[in-house]
Amino acid sequence: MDNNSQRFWAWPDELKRRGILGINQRNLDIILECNPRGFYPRVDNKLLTKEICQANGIQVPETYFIIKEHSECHRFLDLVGDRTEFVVKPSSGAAGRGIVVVAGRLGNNFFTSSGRLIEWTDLRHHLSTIISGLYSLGGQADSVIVERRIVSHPLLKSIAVEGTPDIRVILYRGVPVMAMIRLPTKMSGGRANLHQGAIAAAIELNTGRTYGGVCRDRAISFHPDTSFPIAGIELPNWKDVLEGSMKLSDALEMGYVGIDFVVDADTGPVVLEANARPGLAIQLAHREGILPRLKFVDSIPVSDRTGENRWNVIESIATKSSDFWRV
Amino acid sequence: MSARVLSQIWAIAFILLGIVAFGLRYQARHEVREGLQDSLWRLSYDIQFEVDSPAAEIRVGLPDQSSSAAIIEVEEKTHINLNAEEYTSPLNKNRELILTTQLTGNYQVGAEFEIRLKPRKSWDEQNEVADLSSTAKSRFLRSDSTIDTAGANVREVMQQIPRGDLTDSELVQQLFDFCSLSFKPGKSEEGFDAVGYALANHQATPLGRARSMVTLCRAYRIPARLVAGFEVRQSKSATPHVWVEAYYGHHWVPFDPTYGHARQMPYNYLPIRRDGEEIVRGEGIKDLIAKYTILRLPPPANVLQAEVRRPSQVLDLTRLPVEMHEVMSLMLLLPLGALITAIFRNIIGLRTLGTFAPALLAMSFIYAELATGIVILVAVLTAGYFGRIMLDRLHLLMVPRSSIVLTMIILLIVFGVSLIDYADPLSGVRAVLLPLVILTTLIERYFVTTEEDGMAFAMQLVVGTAVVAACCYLILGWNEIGDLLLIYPELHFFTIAAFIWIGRYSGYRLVELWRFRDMVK
Repeated sequence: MDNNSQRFWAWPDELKRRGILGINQRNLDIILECNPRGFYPRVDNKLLTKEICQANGIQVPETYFIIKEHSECHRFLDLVGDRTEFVVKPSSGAAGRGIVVVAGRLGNNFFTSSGRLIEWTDLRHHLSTIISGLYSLGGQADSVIVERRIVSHPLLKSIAVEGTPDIRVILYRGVPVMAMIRLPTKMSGGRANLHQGAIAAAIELNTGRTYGGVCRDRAISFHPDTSFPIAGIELPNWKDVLEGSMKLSDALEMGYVGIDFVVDADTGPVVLEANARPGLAIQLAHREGILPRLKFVDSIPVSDRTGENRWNVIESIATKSSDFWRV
Repeated sequence: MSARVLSQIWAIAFILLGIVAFGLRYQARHEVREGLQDSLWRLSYDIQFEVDSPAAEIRVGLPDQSSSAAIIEVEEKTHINLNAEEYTSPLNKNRELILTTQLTGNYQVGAEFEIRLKPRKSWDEQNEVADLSSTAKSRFLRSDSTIDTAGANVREVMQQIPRGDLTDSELVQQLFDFCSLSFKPGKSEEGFDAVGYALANHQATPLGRARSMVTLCRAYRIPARLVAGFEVRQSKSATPHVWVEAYYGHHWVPFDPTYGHARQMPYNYLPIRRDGEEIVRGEGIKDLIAKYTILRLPPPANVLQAEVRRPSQVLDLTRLPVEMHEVMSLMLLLPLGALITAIFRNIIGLRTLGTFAPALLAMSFIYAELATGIVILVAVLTAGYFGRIMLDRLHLLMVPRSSIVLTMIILLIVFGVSLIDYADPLSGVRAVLLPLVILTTLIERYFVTTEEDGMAFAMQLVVGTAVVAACCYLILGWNEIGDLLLIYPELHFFTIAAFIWIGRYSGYRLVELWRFRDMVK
């Protein structure tokens, strides 16, 4: 199953039989149908997402302060105070763009989690870049969120080379249908960004145990940096992650949404952000298409897939054999 | 109604709209072109004769539809005492008006034809295959008083031009050359209409030449006939012209020994009577006087009034001043650029820096010239790249930073153009208006992508951008496409339909077949 495939392409009907969702179908049949355009700010604007989370009792990283104007940038040092760890992120950034994780500090010199030095002038420049809208969708003026740095759960820390692993749950009509954990690698520069070479492993929905695996769109079974198997890791607080994801999905009122969590060592799972256009690599991590699961959810009467009944659906999705999902 | 069904309906509606609009304009343009190229003529007959026998019969040859002439309107004025009957002879396909009367006296008959001459002949019409029966063949080999194949002078010529191994075509060519070149012009009154006289004296009237050629052809057993008709040109008193048709290779092949036309007659040769030398002939009559007038008519009013201002001209972009054509057709090419972009993005799945940037870049190359464009592009990208690196250290806000890059790029272009001109004043270099703002954004985006998603991904985007731009350049650089769109901008209804279809395409993108290849083991 590893990087020794002789095939250079798959035929469309082969992919169809495996239930693979392509990007066109995702956009046309799923996102356009399920996600009302007017609700997009709820996920695109992290400040709004945070508010929704807090209103529904879902944990998020504690916000220290927000900078909305260029003129406020100079107050940053005052606002940070003597904190040595914090995260600077654009409110409307996509795919983790523009996020700086400060893990250490020497006076006005800051250090990222990977040990890179950021001088105050650099940081200040970064703040104004964010406000200018360089990282925001559509280049609109943006605001800076400064929030608590999540300290990864020790179990997750052990499998991450550097940076923080995050967990993505994809919910369809409020039901978690697929989940994966993204592990930063050296290649990804400590970021859980699959574009940059982070790896992802699928998660069994009922147990929270990892299986499968993908790196740069190729199926893998071992962490490229540590050679540790990426399958069989049991994630901590898994039920809390699922519960949080379902609550948030209900609050967002979006039919197809990806919710990203990190598991904090102290507070447990916290929501980092939600995404109305979740990527398709999760299928590669599962080595399985997502479409049959979406159809399965559709086939269940609404009353049986809402509220607490969802746990039964999650159980049946997780325990179906892989043959069940073949079209 | 679902979006899918509605989209299909819209797409089909646009296709239909496109077909109708294109069809209408094509039709209109075709009419105008015909009006300009074709010519309208009026051919009038004025025939006077005296009937002195109760069984008189007058046959008036009428022009017929042919490959190059269309008879639009016929008006015949015959005498009240004449019975008129139209007749088409089966062998020669001559159209005739046969007039008969039992009453003697003076008669006057007139006829008018409006004729449209087309300069083009369709190939199959001029090469109509004719099959001659043996009786027909013997008819076109016959010898009579005017065409005497057994005359002494004829035998003399036959000795000069031995049949030998010559093909029919070669032989007829030699006979044509003989009749066309070896006779001096002669006058009718001096008898040079007659074959014997012409061959003996090497002098002939046009009729004499044609008769000689037919006589010689027949002497060599090649069926041949005279054709009487008109050379259509402005004339108050037109005289009929006579030429020859020889039959070989299953075709009647025309030759005009008088003016030297061979195998294909000028489009203004209007045949009236085949196998005859008069337009009008009669029995039981005397003092036949036939006058013919050929008058050129003006083209249809819509052709002459093409320039008159009317609102519908708004739809005609070719009416705009020529210097606007280039810009207009360039603008009309843009949707095609967008179409190519859509195909690359949504069907192939290639990602680019900026959605329409590659197409716009390609368009500017089309507008400029490729070599200058590439030199300037490379210079701009290099300057922009290094400028951006230098500016990075200044920690400027985004808009002013990009603007500095833009200003630097512009300065580089102006002085670059000036430098090229200084080095080679004859190079005819012209400032290229590359989409500079777009280039600046491209550079900015490249930097952000490199920082955020890594060099490898940024390079993927660069390559994608280059591929799409090159593709747009190759396809849209085709001059004919721009010209066609300027004439038929309604073709973009089809483009819109294509956009709708691409917009509803929910199948896999080509790159996904590659991306998900590990899923099908």
